[in-house]
Amino acid sequence: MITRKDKNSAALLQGTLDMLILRTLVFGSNHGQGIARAIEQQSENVLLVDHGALYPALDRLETKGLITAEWGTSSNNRKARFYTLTAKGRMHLLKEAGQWHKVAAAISRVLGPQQVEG
Amino acid sequence: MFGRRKRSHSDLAEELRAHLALETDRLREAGMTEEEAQAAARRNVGNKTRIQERFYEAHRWLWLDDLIRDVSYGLRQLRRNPGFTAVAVVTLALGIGANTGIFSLLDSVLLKTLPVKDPQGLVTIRLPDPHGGYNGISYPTFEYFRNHNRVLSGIFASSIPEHLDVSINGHAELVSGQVVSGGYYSTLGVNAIIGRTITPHDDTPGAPPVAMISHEYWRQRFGASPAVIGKSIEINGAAFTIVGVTPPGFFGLMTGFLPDVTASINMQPLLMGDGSLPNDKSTWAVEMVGGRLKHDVTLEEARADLGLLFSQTLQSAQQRKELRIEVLPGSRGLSVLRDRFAPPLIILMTVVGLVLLIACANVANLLLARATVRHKEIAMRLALGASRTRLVRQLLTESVLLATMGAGLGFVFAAWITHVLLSIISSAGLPISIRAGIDSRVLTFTAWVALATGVLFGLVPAIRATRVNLTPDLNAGRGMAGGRRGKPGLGRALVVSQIAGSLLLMVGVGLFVRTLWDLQEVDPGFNAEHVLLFTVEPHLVGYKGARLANLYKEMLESIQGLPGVRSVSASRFAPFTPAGPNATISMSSHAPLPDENRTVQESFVGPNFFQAMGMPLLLGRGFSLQNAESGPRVAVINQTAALRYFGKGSPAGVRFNLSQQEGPIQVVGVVKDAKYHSLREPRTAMIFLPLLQFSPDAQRVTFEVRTAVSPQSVATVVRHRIEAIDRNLAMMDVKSLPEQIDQSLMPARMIATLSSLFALLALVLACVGLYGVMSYSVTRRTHEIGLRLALGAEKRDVLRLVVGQGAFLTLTGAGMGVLGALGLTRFLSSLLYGVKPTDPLTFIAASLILMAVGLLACYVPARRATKVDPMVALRYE
Repeated sequence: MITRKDKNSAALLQGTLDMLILRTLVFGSNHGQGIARAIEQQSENVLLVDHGALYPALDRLETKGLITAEWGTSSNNRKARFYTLTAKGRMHLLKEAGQWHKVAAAISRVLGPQQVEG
Repeated sequence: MFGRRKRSHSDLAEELRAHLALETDRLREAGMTEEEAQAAARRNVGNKTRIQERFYEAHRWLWLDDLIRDVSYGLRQLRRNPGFTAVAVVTLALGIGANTGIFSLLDSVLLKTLPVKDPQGLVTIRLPDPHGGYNGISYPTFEYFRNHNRVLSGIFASSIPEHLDVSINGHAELVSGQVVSGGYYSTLGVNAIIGRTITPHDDTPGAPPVAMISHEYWRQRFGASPAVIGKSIEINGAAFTIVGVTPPGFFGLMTGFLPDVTASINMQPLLMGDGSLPNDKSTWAVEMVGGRLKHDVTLEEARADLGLLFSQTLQSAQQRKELRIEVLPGSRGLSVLRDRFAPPLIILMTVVGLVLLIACANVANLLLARATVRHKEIAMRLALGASRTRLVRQLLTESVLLATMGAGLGFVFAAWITHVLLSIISSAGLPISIRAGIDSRVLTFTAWVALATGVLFGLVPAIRATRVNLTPDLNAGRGMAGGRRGKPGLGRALVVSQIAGSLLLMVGVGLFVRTLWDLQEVDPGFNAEHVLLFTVEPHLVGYKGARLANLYKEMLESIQGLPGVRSVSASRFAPFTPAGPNATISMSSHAPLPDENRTVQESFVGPNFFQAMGMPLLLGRGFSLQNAESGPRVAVINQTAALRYFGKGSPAGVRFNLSQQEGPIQVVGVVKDAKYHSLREPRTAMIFLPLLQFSPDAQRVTFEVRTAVSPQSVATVVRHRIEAIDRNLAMMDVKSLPEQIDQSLMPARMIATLSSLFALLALVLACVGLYGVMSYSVTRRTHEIGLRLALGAEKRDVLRLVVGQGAFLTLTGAGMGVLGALGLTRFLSSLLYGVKPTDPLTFIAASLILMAVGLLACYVPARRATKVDPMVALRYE
């Protein structure tokens, strides 16, 4: 959980969270809880989503026009607000993800091969 | 920002509820029971309220939101306590308003730069007289500057505004006006708002007379009608055409003067009445020359260049040695006002600053008292999680709100003060028009003062109020907790400092008022009633050498014969103007002692001078017309000179020498001492020499006419007589001697009046403050008083108790005030006259008044204390 004290890492994580949200929406519209669950599952529970940060992030993405939102019904008949990726969002995701991969690869090269953990 | 509320509060709430439900579902499907799933879901999702908060925080400018909330809460609080609010606001209004009023005056007299384009590049050029004051610069010299300088991008000449007779459509009135040369407006960078400005073309000989009018005059006299362009007006009897109107706010170069009419300089001889001849520019003199420095030229370079040019215009080596022009930065304009009014205004600014502090102390005390009333509310808010900083911020907002309301109301008070000040100044008879209105600078100043004041008086009470022990304050009733908390120490300290401040002010007032009284009582040594003064400068119309002496003789004889004239005389230096030359005295009978000061002042006066001025002769006689060039050299000395240099015996007939004057001079009379230059001057040894003998070709001479009736009525007759002698000779500076003396008193009068007003204000504030503290103290001690009464105390014991406390506070305050005053009043000594800065009488009087006020303030609370019913008080928790 990202707490308030981690403000330094919060900036990096904010952008990253946005990216992850967009990524999960590539596969189709989803509601808030679904998105959170998807990220946790896909990352094999390494990344735990702070639900408190989720909604501001969703709102940010909505303001920028990268996703749209609408009330709908979930699979088990619950009313929920569904988010859909827009074309603009798709392009943004491609760009950001590409950037991320480049940076991650570079960091890996600098750090060298991973030590075998005990 | 806070506006983008596309999603309503309930919308998000609903989404979060849905989120929670979905999460619960998932966990149930994963195998948990309903309760377990719900609990786990709530744990996973986290604090719903917190999420909502973060959501909104991400959107808004939190501080602005808080501010608005604080302000509206503060306003509600203030409205719920109208009594408190009213008292605080009025107190602050008086304090802040006083500061605003004095500042607006200070600003326009001392601080503001001219409302022209780029005032920093302006310079003024004047010619100081070696003996003090300023001379005019001759027009040919100005033209020489104009044609030959290399440092100015623009140059102009102007006169100092004075009163002119203007006639429009036959209606005559007196206005303020000046003349300017063609470069004036272009150098200052000022354009006409309608019509055109005066240009160099209007300087050419034979150009039609034109004039511009000020915006104010245009509004008042012409109703701001565009038809004013081309209209004809008469100034001093000559026809002028109005060609333009200057922009609002523009008043030229002299701070404090607003000329209604500005005419082209060609008309100077006609308008200024200074004796110049219309057709001979070499007789013209301009009072001021100004210019704008070229971009890359410094003031020093300009001084050098113009100084050199000036010396090239001088005829004799003697002149070149003595005369030097002065080149000064002109950005703040020329101000005769500044020198006269700067000290009093600065004193007044200090005084009102002190008054404001006293007012702040009062309001701080009020707030402290309020804090005890609100302690429950504050304890509640702290318990609910508000941070102390947040609460202090909110309380400070309330304080600043109070200060702002006070400042708003204060403008009314400020306007009244400014009005009083200006009426005092204008009573001195100078054609001053100080625009001390509310402009943006004054508003900015007031806003800052309000902010600073709010923080000043609000900070400590706010911090105090939030220093709360939660448990006892939430639990307890009013009694013990309410009694023990809020130690009165701070409140008492504030009142003591208020009283000290009030004493300081009252001592100051006492000193100023006594200065004014003493000045007014000063015996000037002559009889000022019914004396008319005027000055002539015949050299401007071509009189030289022997013709001057003859002219003066003729004028004296002629005016003496007029009806209503009792005696007439002349002098080279007008009474109550800066001093004449000094000289060293030496006598054959008396070898000078070492270290002895042999300096005396010289004054050149005509026959019958002492009769005209009403100076009594103690011995011998004055001068008559016989004492002209050819006769023996004689002098009249004053008492001080006699005592200092002529020993015990009678000085009559004794001969002495003066440096720079010819031959031994014989004393023919001794006259009583008098004040020659100002009411404040110390004893001076004065030697009077006959004008016609020692200085018959004086270029500028002042006449003193003692009249049987009022001086004004004789002035016209005298004017006609002078015109009969020489039509071109003009009378200048016509006024009565009492007016001249009165003018010199004006700054003293101003300080005395205003500081009395403010000291009274401070006294009232301190009294109210003391009353408040005493009242509170009695309330707090009701229980104790009831106990004492029940145990057998008499009413007068209670009285003694309360009054004793009040007296203690007052005495402490007075004591501190006295100490402070003893230390600080020495800074005033240059303004005082006839009283020492540590004058005991003033100190004692101030202390007594303060004690009386202190007792008065205690009276009501003391009586209230005696009326306490022990039965009620004992039950009063």
